[in-house]
Amino acid sequence: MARLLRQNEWLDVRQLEGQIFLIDEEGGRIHHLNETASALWRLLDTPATRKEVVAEFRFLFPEEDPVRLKSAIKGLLRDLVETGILKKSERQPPD
Amino acid sequence: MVAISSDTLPARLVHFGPYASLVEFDDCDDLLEGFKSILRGWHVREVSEQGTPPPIIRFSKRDGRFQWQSERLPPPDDWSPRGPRKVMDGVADFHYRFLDWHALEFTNQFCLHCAAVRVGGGLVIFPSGKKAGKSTLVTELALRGYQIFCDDVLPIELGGNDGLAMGILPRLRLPLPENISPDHSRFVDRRMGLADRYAAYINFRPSELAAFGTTAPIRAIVLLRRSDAPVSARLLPAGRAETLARMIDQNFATHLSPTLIFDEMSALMDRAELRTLEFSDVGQAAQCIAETYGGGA
Repeated sequence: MARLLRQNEWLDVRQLEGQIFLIDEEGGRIHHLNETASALWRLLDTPATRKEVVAEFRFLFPEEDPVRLKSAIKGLLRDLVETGILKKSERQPPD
Repeated sequence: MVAISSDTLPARLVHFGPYASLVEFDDCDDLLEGFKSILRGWHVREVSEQGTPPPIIRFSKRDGRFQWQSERLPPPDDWSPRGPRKVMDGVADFHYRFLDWHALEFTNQFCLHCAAVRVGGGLVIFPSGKKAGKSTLVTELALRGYQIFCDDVLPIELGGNDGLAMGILPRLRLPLPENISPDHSRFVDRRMGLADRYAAYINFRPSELAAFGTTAPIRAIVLLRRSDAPVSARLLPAGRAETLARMIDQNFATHLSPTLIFDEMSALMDRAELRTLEFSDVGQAAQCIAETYGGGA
């Protein structure tokens, strides 16, 4: 079963001039998201699988090389999970 | 003449200014004297009384190398497994941990990695990344008669707007950039303090470097954007998000709540002008700051 990626709900989200800052009180850190990470964070307002995220970015950036785009998004997702900004969970079965 | 073995000399217990803890220097007089040489406005005194609490750091020497022992402050990154042999390296490393110690002692302050200069009655601070030329720029401003507050770290009281001078000599990387003025170069040569081939502490006079404990309000936050290509120095508006991101990146008061840090920095930005200084020539950059904020040194 594909795993869902979702925002870490424990982070306090602050927006300034359209940029996103995430305050991790427990981890004692403040994250500033760059443009791509911000777009990804907003996309995951609704949890999605990695495949769905990549497909959405392909739709948003059709001029980008698909192979490079996929690789970049996978790398970014991995970083965001490692830093605790995103979490993974099992997809819930439909009601 | 009687030779006294250093083994028989007692360790020196030293108080630095208002800090509650002590530092022990065991057979490390050179390190102590070297460190004292970079401080300005500090009351450094030795104590001999027994029953004092354990020192926060114990310096000693083994095989000619400085050793670090502390339960509260980790050794500098390069001290493992063997400490440095040269006094300059020991002082520079202690300098950085000294600032961490400050953050432990004063929990009512947060610390920004930045340079700061008093220009026209208030502080212009430069919260820039490494190798942006902060130390060279503040030296250039000192040459124009403005007082340096720091070239590295500025403590700021929570809920306030005043920066506190740490009274630590600026440290310049060597060799100096090729495009600095002959005056600047001569000044550095004349005032060079503790140094090695890579860096030098510069002996600024009291009028040129604020003593420890001096405070002044922050009036402008200026991000440095140094260009390798020749550009005329100019101040541009800086966005709040860009400035905040840079300041957060440069903050190291990790004992404080990140929410508190975020709110303090936001408030600081509300009270200060936010600018980006684009430059390639440090003399022009200093002139631009002086003309914008100076109004006479």
